[in-house]
Amino acid sequence: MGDLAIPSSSWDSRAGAYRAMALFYRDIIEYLKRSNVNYVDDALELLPTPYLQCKVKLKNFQHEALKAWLDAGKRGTVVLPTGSGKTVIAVAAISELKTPTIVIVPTLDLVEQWQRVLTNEFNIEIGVYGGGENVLQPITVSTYDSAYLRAGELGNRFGLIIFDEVHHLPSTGFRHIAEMFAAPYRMGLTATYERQDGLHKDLPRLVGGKVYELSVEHLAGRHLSEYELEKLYVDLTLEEEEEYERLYKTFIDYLVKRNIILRTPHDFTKFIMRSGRDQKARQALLARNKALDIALNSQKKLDALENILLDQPTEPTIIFTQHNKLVHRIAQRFLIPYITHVTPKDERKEILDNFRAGKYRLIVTSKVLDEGIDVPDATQAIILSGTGSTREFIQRLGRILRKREGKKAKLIEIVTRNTAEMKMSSRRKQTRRDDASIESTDY
Amino acid sequence: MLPSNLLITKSRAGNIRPVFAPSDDRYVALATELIQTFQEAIGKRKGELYANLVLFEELDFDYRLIRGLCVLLERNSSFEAQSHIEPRIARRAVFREANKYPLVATGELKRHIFETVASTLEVSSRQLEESLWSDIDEALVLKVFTPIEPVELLKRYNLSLTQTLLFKAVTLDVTVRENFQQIFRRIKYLGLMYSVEKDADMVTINVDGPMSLFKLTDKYGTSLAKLLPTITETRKWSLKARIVVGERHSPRLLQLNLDSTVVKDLFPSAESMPGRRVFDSSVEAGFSRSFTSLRTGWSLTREPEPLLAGQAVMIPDFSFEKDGMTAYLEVVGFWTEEYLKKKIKKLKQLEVQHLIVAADKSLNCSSFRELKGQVIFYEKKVPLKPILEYLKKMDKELVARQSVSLEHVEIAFQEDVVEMQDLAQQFHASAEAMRQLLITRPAKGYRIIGDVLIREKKLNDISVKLSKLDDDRLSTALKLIEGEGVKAPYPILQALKFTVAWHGLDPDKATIRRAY
Repeated sequence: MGDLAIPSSSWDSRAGAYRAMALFYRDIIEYLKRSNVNYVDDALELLPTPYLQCKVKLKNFQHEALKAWLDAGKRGTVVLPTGSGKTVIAVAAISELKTPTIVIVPTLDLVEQWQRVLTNEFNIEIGVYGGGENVLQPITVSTYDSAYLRAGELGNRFGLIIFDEVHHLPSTGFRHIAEMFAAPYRMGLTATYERQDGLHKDLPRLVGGKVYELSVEHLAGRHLSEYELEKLYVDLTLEEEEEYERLYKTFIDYLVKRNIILRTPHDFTKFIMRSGRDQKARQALLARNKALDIALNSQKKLDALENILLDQPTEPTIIFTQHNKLVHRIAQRFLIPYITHVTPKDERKEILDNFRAGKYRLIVTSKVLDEGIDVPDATQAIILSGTGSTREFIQRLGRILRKREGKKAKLIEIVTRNTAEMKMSSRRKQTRRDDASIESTDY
Repeated sequence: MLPSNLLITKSRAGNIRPVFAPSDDRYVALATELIQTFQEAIGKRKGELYANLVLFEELDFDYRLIRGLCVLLERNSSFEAQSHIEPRIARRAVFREANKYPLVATGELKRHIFETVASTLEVSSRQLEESLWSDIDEALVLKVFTPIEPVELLKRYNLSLTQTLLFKAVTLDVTVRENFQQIFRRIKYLGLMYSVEKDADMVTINVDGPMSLFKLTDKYGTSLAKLLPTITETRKWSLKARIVVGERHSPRLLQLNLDSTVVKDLFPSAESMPGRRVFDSSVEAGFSRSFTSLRTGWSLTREPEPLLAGQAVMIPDFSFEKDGMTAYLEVVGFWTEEYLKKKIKKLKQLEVQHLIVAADKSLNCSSFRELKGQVIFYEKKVPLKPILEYLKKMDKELVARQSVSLEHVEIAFQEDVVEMQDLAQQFHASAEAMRQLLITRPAKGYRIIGDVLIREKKLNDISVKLSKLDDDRLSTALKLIEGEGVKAPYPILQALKFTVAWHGLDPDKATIRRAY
């Protein structure tokens, strides 16, 4: 920057100049123009870019979404259910602006998926940051992690920045990405705008607020397949139940004795921090985890899973669990291909490709497939354990909502009766009832 | 560095400190046991090793300490999958075969599948089954474990723990006395920013990052943590860091103060750390050796304290010091053009009187010519001659300058014998300049003999006393002269035209005789 104090800037004696966060680049340029101040702009150093023209045809609602974003000054967040084609809107936006673009995504799977789509649409080499790769191109896809680490060096190379799954952005660390990139044009994409911790209130400042929103109900049956929910209760075995009761009592007794009430996730974080100092608290926490573990990994659940899989012997199905341990147990019991966070990238790809091609009917996975990865042919999902987070639930749901002719997708959640896990599950239902009016009673 | 959830700290009255593991009997015993457990697990599965390690958490230690030590030991270990065939190939074959059936729900079908696949892959059914899951984390086998001394493990842990605390640092101020070049290079490499305050031989460096100007952020915490070993491997250091603790809702800013005295027995010793006192190139090492062997009267320091160059600092490769004069030598070897441009820009900004730049002949010479200081070019070896000439020129200039400044000084003498060195000190000049002055402006009634100024009357006295001696032994004469207040008696003997006659090697037998 220079020797003139302008809004949002601060004096830096080390640089001998006023400096400002890259986030304010657009505001500052606008301010200078409005004030008729002569200036030299050395901030942006855009990558030389070929003519960017895509081939996508937008559906009506996608067109509306793009227009809403353009009208809002090429800033803001588009909220659409998973599986409704958010990627296509981003592609159209790049084609419209014809400026170097970086797409920020949460997982390596998504890096690959975006890379595939963008290569197809624009017929150019796509840059990649993440998973050990560092290639800079006019259109580049990066993980949030890499973008955070390299914001200082990449921040002035792009005119447009697109945040996929933008609800990750407001977290304490990742928000630096928005602050350290100068890109004047910004787009956020998500199916779940709200965060439990309320931090989404910072999104208007970082990318621009909600400019377009469409809920699942609006799309179901038209662009997405309809779906039904089923909830299956199983009991613990007698031994499991005894052990569960004993462990859970240890936990509850401690809470009662110390007069601790766990009402919010924040209370729980405080409790975990306490367990670092207090041996008793730690024992209580370990007992609770063990109890949950019994409920989540119950033998009866595996039996129930077996029954469902036998009942529908041809249905392409993805099985979700919370922990790798259960993934391995299911994989070993039924000889089903599995994916965890340590599965190498190429093996993961091989399994997903085989699933898409119908060579594998079943996949079992932990949380890794949570977000937006494209698995179009799953018509059934089975959840063996959940964490009670609204976002996670909807996104898992979204996975099987890909549109297929005449197909009604199905989601089955297997829950152990009378355990803490049930509370998690109903907490979820509660939030969803508040959210909207998805029919919630076929179970 | 450790995972953040293994960090153990204590905070009191706005200060925070890692909870260090002391090297006392109890901790050393724990460390020894853990090392032993790893050693015994060689050839066994990771799952088994960890089942054993978990047992230690029952002991009366913080479980985070035990896990932290294990993290460090795991870095000395290497695990491998042990299988008859590539697990991934085994899996692919098994999953494909299993997919032919609606669901593999019975043990019988499972066995059948294993047998079918095993025969196509030409292994036994058991070998197939063993290979199938052999790359799952718990199934990995400990192949290599490099043992470490228990005390060393505890010290490494303490350093790692401090680094882990720095993850949450928003600023770091360090005070150091050496290793400047390495420290600043590291700061730059880590993408950090600094400002510098100099105080005598101490340099305080305030470190943070580009975003720190705008907000309190721990974005640079990891980089600050990586900087720490470069600081602690110097001999004398201190640091202050501001640390953010607590959750987002109620963050607090605490201060971490540490110095080399406090952690003397807690951190790995400076000598045991790698990378100290390493020369950038053989050119520098060679130069240092040959200069020191010459005994020029100039003292040579490698990597002296930083010089200010505009807003940045520069640490020259060497400094030469004598009588309050300092000259700097910067050796520029072969580098990229961009590096050279920056270097020359920095050199131009230096506010230093005596700078010698030795540049590799193969570099772009013309840009060096723009520099104020002396530029010499070298091939392979930095030549000593031009540098010695430069230093000699400085010697002469100093003498001349001081002589000029002494010209109008009135010197009144009271003592009979005045040491030139004392006189020089009294007038803040060099002994050489003082001598020059007294030659051009002789002090009335005095003579210069050797390194002293002596009153002629006194010299006469000594001469008379010497001739009256009834003993012609050298030792008697020397004692007499020394008794008159002259520390170096030989030049006086010489000036009074005495010669020494040696009778063998024993100085007690030597005699003097006046030559007329």
